[in-house]
Amino acid sequence: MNLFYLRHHYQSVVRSTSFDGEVLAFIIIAILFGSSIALTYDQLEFYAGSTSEFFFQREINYHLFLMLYLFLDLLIRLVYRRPLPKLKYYVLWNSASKQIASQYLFTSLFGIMPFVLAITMFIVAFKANEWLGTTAMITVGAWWLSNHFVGLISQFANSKIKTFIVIALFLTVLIQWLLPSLHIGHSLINPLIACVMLAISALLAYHMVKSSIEKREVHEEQGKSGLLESLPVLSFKNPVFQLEWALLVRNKRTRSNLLLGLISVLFLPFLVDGKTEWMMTTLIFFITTGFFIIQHGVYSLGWEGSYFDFLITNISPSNFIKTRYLFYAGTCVVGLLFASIPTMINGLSWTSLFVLFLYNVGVTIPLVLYRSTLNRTKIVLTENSFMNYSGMMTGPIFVSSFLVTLLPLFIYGIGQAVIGENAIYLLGLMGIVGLMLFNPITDLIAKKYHSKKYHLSQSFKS
Amino acid sequence: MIKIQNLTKSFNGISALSIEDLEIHPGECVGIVGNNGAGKTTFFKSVLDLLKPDSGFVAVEDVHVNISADWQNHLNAFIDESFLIEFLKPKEYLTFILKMKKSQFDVEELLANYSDFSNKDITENKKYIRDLSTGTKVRIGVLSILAGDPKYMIMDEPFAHLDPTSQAKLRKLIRAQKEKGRCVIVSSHNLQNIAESCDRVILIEAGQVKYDVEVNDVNMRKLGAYFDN
Repeated sequence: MNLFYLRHHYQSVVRSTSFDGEVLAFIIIAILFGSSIALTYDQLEFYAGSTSEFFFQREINYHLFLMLYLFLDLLIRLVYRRPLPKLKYYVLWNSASKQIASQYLFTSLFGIMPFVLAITMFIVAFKANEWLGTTAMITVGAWWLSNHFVGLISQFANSKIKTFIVIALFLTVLIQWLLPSLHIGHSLINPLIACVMLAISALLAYHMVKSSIEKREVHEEQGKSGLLESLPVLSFKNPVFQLEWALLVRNKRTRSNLLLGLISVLFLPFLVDGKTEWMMTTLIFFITTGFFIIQHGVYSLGWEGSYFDFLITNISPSNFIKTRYLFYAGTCVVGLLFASIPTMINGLSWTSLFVLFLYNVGVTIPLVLYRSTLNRTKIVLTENSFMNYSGMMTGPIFVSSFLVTLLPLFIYGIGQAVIGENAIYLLGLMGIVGLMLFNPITDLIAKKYHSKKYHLSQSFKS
Repeated sequence: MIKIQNLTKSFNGISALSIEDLEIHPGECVGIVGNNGAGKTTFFKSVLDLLKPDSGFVAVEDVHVNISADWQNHLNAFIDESFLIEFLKPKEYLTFILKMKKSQFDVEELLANYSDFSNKDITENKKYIRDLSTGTKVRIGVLSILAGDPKYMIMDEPFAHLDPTSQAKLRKLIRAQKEKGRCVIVSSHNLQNIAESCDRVILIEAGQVKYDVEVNDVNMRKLGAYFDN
């Protein structure tokens, strides 16, 4: 067998300038992600329903839990867009398409996101074995692999096939839900269904990759839209809002920032418990509800400054600022919703989480927007965000990151000295005041943008 | 009318632009020529309020561009590809521009009106702008400035990356704008393109207006001789 693609892929990974960083990222993610899941290992059982005194009820709960996990895994795969191989090289060098396709399918199993999903799968599969036996473990493993191939198919497929996949999966889940005999771990039928799905999805993925190579669809490599990327066509009322969304989901760096942020939001609340120092809890709640502003917002204008001139599009600074403010506030709501589940599971105060959400919306967002006029570094959008700190060490972005993170802790520290643990409500109060002053604050920031228009026009031009 | 008076701009003490008095009227097609570094782009950027002049002013329809943004309702410009939004598809970008300009036309009408200039690579392309060829990007940029029915249009070196057929179409398009009473200001290194699409030509040298003449055989020969020497 000609392993040309595999060898070339290996070399391209190893010789990549970011290879060291990626290896380090693998290790850090494995430690952080693995340990945080291990810490919550017992809670998996609790929330899967083992507390029920009736075994049959527990079995149903286990089944539902595993189905939910597999569904979420699939959802991530449909949203996460894998880098496609540069097929044209292999076409030009006349390698056999079937060999390229099979080797591509193999290499697609590796990468940071598949690695993160694999850690989760191993833990859940072991737990499934403990709960419902070996058949359940096999079922989870087979579905997980099937999810992987379905994710690949969705990258190559047209909208009709995508729709078919979604309907087929929905029906399969529905049938499994309705028929107790098909519940995971109940009988051998379930692993059988999972294995059949795996075989079909693997074959279909293989066929689609191979056909893509044979049809010389080399120019489609970057142009195809994933689920997230196609959403902007839904046309928001405000075109600037639509632009914000497109910026976020159609660029590798911003998109991976978002996904990383969402994953971290789910796990961060488990790093603290009721006995943890409140300062630490405040920090965690600040990060979880403000994950997007800290990761994305501080780069404001660095992402889009290269094309933005407030000129050709007639976007007024005021419209731009208000839209961006609301967009960022929306991401804080997402952070709040995502963090609410682990916060409540971990027995932490949801009120405190909400207070930090208010603070982020009312204080952190305007602070980040105001400081963004000082940004002058153009950030490359088409590179992954893993271990990619391009632009991070430049003055304004570095300062913004620290300023926005340390400020609530500083305020909380002072407040704590005066009013004790209720100091957290001081942050919430500041957030409410910030929201009440939405119009004057955004007008002030718009004025600042206007006064910096020449600086902004020149900073980002290559 | 676009009025420029006592406009100066220097970088690190070196004068990049110094225009005493210049007027450009609606319905004119003005070609801006000059060697690299002569100050053509600095001139455009000053007109578009992207650069802060050291002195003087630019007024579009009596509105000083650095004081109010109202002039943007009358003037559209395409300076280079960095003005395009790279992660939108061609039609999405044009739709976005039309929406921002609050145009009465939708994108299909715009493309139909300029079907000669909008090939399938624009109308049916599913790729993002960043994945397109430079020539296609230029054509998208040109189409984008036709959105919103502007009175004045500015294009910096639009011919540079276009194939001969597209260059001919662009010349035709510029002439058609003149017939509609619009003013087009276009720069080019190719005198032939200016001669075939404009009725007035301005030669910029070291930031100053060296010639400001009507396009005719005699003047174009003079300009040709200037560049030959």
